Amino acid sequence: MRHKKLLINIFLLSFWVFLAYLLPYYLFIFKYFENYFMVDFKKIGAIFLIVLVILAIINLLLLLREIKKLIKEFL
Amino acid sequence: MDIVEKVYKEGILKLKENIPQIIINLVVAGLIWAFGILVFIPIADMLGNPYLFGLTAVKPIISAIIAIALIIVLLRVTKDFGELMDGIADIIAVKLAGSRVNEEKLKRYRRGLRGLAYLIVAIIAYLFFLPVISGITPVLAGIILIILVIWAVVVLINIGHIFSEEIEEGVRIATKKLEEALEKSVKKEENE
Repeated sequence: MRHKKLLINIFLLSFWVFLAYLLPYYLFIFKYFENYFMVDFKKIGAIFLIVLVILAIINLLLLLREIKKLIKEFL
Repeated sequence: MDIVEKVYKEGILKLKENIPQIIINLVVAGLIWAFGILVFIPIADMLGNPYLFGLTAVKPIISAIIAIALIIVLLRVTKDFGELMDGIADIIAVKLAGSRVNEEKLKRYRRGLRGLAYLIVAIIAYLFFLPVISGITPVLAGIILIILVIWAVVVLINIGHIFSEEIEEGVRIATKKLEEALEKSVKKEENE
């Protein structure tokens, strides 16, 4: 496939955003297990959200690099 | 190849190289802003904005990460926009001055248009950061806006001066040509 990296980046970006969007909902489910695991899932969710933000931004920058390459090829 | 043709070709090349890069960078800045403001910060709110290790809440951390990414992308836009304006300055110099174009004129044009480029990027950056700044304090947003207005006026006056000199020179040459043509016609009438 010719633009494999571009497609992978688009897929990963949408995956991170989707994961972040669903975060409050699966944390809601994990809350029921809080007493068994003895951890504060709210804090873990917050750290996970920060990691997702960083991953999404890195992916966006990688996507930018791929599009630049594509445009150079095109020109 | 004479200097006019060379400068013109360089200007066109700079335009071709920088326009797509500026557009892509601006689109990416817009996406970072949209994801940050519309997706990640509301999710932090939905989580109840918890404190991490008793130090700071999640929302300011996410805002800071987004702000840093935006600053990096906008700095790239500034660099590309400056080069684009150099190209536009070259083309304007060739079109306005023609064969009278020289290094000094090019430098003046480039300096003036680069000022305009930095102003445009500053205004775009202001629009991107407005929700963050007005979230901190609305007074700060107002002060920055006033500074931008003053800067815009100074830059526009500078650009006006640069082009007025060129227009004056063009008018001087045109009147000189007209006088010569008039003299010729008067001499012709006298001979007849």
